[in-house]
Amino acid sequence: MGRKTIFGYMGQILRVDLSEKRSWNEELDEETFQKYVGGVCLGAKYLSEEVPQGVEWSSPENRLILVTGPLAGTRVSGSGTFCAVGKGPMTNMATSSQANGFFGAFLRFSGFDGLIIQGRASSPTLLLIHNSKVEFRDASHLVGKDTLETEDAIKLELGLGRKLSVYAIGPAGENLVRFACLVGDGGHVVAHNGLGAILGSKNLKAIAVHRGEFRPPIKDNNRLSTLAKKLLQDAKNFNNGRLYKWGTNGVFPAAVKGGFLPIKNYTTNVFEDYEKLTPQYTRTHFEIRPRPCWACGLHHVHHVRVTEGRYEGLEGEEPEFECVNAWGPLIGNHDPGALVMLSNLTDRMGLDVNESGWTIAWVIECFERGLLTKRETEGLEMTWGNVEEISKLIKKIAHREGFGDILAQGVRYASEQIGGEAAKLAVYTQKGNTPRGHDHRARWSELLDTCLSDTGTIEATFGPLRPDLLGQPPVENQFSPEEVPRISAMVSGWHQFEDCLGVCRFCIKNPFLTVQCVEAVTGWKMDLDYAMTVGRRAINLLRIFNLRHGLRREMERPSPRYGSVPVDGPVKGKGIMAEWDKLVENYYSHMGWDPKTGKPLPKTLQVLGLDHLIHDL
Amino acid sequence: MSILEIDISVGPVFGLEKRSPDRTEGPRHLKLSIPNASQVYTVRKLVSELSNHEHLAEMFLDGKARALKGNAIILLNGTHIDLLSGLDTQIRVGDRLVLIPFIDGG
Ligand code: SF4
Repeated sequence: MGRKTIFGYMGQILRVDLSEKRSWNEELDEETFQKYVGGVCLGAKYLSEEVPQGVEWSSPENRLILVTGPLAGTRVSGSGTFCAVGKGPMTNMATSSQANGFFGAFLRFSGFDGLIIQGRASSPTLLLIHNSKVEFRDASHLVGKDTLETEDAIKLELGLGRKLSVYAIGPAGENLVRFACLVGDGGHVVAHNGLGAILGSKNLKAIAVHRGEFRPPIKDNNRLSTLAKKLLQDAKNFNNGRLYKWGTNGVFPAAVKGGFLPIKNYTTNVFEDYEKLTPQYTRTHFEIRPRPCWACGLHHVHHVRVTEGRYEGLEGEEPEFECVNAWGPLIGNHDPGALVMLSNLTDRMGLDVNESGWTIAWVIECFERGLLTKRETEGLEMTWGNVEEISKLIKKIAHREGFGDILAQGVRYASEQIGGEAAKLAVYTQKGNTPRGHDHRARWSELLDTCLSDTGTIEATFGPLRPDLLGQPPVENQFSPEEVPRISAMVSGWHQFEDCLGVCRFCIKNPFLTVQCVEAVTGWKMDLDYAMTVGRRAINLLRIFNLRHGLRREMERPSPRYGSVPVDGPVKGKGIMAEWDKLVENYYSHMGWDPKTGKPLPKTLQVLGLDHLIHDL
Repeated sequence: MSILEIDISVGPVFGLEKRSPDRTEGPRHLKLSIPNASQVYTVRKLVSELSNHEHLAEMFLDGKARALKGNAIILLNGTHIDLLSGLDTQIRVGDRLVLIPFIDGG
């Protein structure tokens, strides 16, 4: 390409303006990559520079920023990942969400480290990136198709088969359902905070990237090769091989007993007869075959065929843990075949499974208590476990039909519209998004993170706190208002750094080896402190963006039901709200933020090299 | 001299597998008999006992430190021990303990 080689990078970002049907390449220098690395941190930089206060999520000026990182498309296992950043509809603040698959690797093979889309197309559009060129193709014939139909149709039309990666929206995104997601590579999802609605608002039906001929330049291939093998072995052994053997749903049995399974909209923590929902059952009774992402040796993703029960013969993606939760315990369903049906329907419609699950569980609880009747639900019998009626409601939401139109705004909006007692039953954060599919009342660190995060989902944590992975002592008390925020802040930054790399989180469980991989690829000197600083830079960039766009401390709280006291189970009687202010203020302080307002302190920004943002505060 | 017997139910273990049973996951229940148990026996002492049981040690103890792994949960008679006295929680004959490993991710 005639430019100076920057090891680890293609060296350029593809810019697209849909309004003008114009694209151009933007070169980046090595200093910028060293500071922002890629993924969420580079995305946060662009978001904060290009989307000013007053720009709404649905405005053409909003950006859809898709960024890979230095490990994408390398021999590191699971390196087909990308990070999507924008201003999201659920919170009307920043969002950052990742998807695995092939797209991240193929984008790099097309010659780009990232893709930034602005404007709004005048008619439904398919963006095709092919041999470093961009084509704006008509997508009118794809309108109304679900996400997987869209992917198949595009692959057939272009005749590129497996050499093409497609991410598309379904009916939900087209209809601007606020929790629409972006689905691609046969069922991978950019899930949180309504990224799919942003595509819908831009009239962009799908993005397709051809597996091009370019490859990222690697500084030390031999070292990378050795490290990549070690990293994969470590990931396979992690937690006694649970993910490798059983997939993400491997945690289900622990979640049942540990009290962090979300059951019937947080009305109980006891779930009997759950064995058929465990992977120990489904993976040994249903027909399954692995369907790994780009270069992944961990291959946890599987295709499944239901072999018994009412949905015998149904095929699709094996439901991940959060899908199992949403369409199992959360709605009172015990049938694993129904779970496959509902999970695949949600993906096909292009709906975020978490928000969908919380919304429908709330409808069911209201219906069971007589707060909603068949009049409101338009004849649907919304009782626990009534999966056929639930599937009808999912379609109504995606098409914004009748009652589905109110629900399409998310559970917070819907519960406020219905009001009265029903308003107290919905699970959400006061920023407007819902948590992942867990009962966080038994895992305070993730409840705190979900409410305080600036991404529309978790930010500092990923499951339980694991300071031990960063070489620090483990948590002594998981319900301590001092220890939980202190350790959350201490580990905060690592997961954001992971999201800068263009590689799947499940494949990089050893932070020290991961950092060495980045060194081998780029030739930079790097240690854990460097990595944590980059992660914290991303966190603070997003926080300042959110403060500009209306974030206030009172939004950093759970809804009454989300913060309620468990009535049974292992954490019975222990409520987080009694300690809430202490938890928040301690977290703010440990993050170097004003303990009263949550605004980053000037010296925090200075340390992170974000001095230019001090005047914003 | 007394013998303290404790039932340990290791959370995520099932006998459900039709094909390829997962042999690495160990027994579902285990009885630990500890001679010379002092009158007051704590979860902390139980955790130190785990190092004598190779399989449980691998699941629950940090390799070097031999301390309880940060992601493990222990329930005593159905209650999270962090809501009791943590590792100093006392246990008595007949108590039911549940040890839950593997709770990352998802
Ligand atoms: S671990 Fe799973 S999600 Fe990650 S890259 Fe491999 S198959 Fe894909």
